[in-house]
Amino acid sequence: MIPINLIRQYKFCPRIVYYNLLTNIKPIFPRQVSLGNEYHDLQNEMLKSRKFKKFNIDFNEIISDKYFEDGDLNICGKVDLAFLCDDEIIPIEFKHIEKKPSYSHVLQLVGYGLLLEEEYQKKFTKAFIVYSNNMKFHKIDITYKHKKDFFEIIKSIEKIVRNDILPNSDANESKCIQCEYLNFCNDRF
Amino acid sequence: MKHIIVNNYGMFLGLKSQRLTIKQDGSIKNEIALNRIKTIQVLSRGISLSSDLINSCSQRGIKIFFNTFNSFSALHTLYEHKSVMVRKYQFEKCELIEGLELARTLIIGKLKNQRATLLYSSRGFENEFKHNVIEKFDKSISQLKNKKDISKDFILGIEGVSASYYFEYLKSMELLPRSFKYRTKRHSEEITNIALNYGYAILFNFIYKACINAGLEPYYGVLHSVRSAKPSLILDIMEEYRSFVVDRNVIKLRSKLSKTKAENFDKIKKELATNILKTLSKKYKYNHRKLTLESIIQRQVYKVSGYFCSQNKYKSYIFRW
Ligand code: SF4
Repeated sequence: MIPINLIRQYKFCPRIVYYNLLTNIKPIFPRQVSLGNEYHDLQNEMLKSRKFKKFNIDFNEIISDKYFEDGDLNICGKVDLAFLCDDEIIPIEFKHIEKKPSYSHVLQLVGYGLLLEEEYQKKFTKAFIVYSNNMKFHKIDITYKHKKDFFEIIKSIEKIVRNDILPNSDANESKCIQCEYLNFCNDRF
Repeated sequence: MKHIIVNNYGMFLGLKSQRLTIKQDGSIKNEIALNRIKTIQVLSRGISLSSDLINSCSQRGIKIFFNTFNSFSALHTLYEHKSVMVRKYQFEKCELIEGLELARTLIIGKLKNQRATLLYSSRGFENEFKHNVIEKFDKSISQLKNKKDISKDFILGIEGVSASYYFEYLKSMELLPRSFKYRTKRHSEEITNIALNYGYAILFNFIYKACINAGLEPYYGVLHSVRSAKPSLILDIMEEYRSFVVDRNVIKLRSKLSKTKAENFDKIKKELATNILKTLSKKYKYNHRKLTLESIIQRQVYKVSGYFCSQNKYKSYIFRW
């Protein structure tokens, strides 16, 4: 099953997906990554005391930090947070930087939404990305195109797994220089 | 990104907050962040390494090589074993016509690159000898290209004859020191051969690394005989690069080599190693881009694995002279 967090990695460079799924390399991540993880943990801790009034959503239940998988969709992942409403589910992701979320970030959220949609059989039309400690957020209206693009990436990842051969990459120098797999690729510049 | 070469007896390589520290006689000579290092090449005896450094290097894909004149070993993580499919196809294809075709292409590439080295090294002079040797190379290349029922013996035959023209020419034109009489692969006591063997050992490390990165089995090749303990695929792939990466640098150092006794080769080996690394880190044109030669070699080796997996054709990288 494909972990949803690989969507962003795939958009960054398809080879990362290969290294992640098909080799046992355990990379040493740079400091920013652990900062991101710390932020995530902190948010999850703080969640317990939140009321989420700012979102103006009439929810029945909150799902937090819960793992889901779906055999038919062939995807899995841990949902940061989601509102379970009468007729819809709304996934929420935390980001530790303020700038506008990238498309790959949005697609990742689409993956979590699709998992929840299947699990709870409720519609999925919007999502939030929270980017600050005092709950500032971006609202994203999910379209057909989002879902189509998401499934296209899943198909490409499935192909990488099926082929079991290091894929080509057009990642440029600025990406590769910060990549923990640079020495394993060894063909970049 | 750097290749670190250490070749002084008594050096100690350690780790300090994800930095490599190089100490001699207890004092730090150099410190380099691990995320800026590609390989560490230990080219002398009596050098110590800390286990923490080895561990961090393996996780970061920094391979550590140990070369002396008669031994070779490498440290890298067991985790990085890549695609089993690549190895499966490699074993299959090596036994089929595809394996022979790859061998043919690699040797054509080798001859073209040797030809380029001859032309480059003797660009100042014109004579009949040069003309004849180049003609012989052209003939060998076209024989190899056009042979219908290709066999290993045929390829090896042409390769062997061309190698003897090649070294004969370098010797006669005094492009190598006078002490050079013929090519000796092991246990040579003649300085040119020692230098060539030393240079090929460095090149070997790079090809080995490229093969491991591409998930290929280094001991299963298409031309050199396949037997245990013989890294035949590395030797096959090296053929294309020997003359450009090593021979040219030995030719450039010929006057220094001429003045150095074989037993004093240590005095010159650092310069040779540095020049070879410079060649490998210089950028050349590759598919409309400029890439370091090391990256080009790695891409070419990825293409070998792609060839085994029927994903692409393989074309040698030909150096312009
Ligand atoms: S080094 Fe570059 S090509 Fe290799 S995995 Fe990282 S981003 Fe991709």
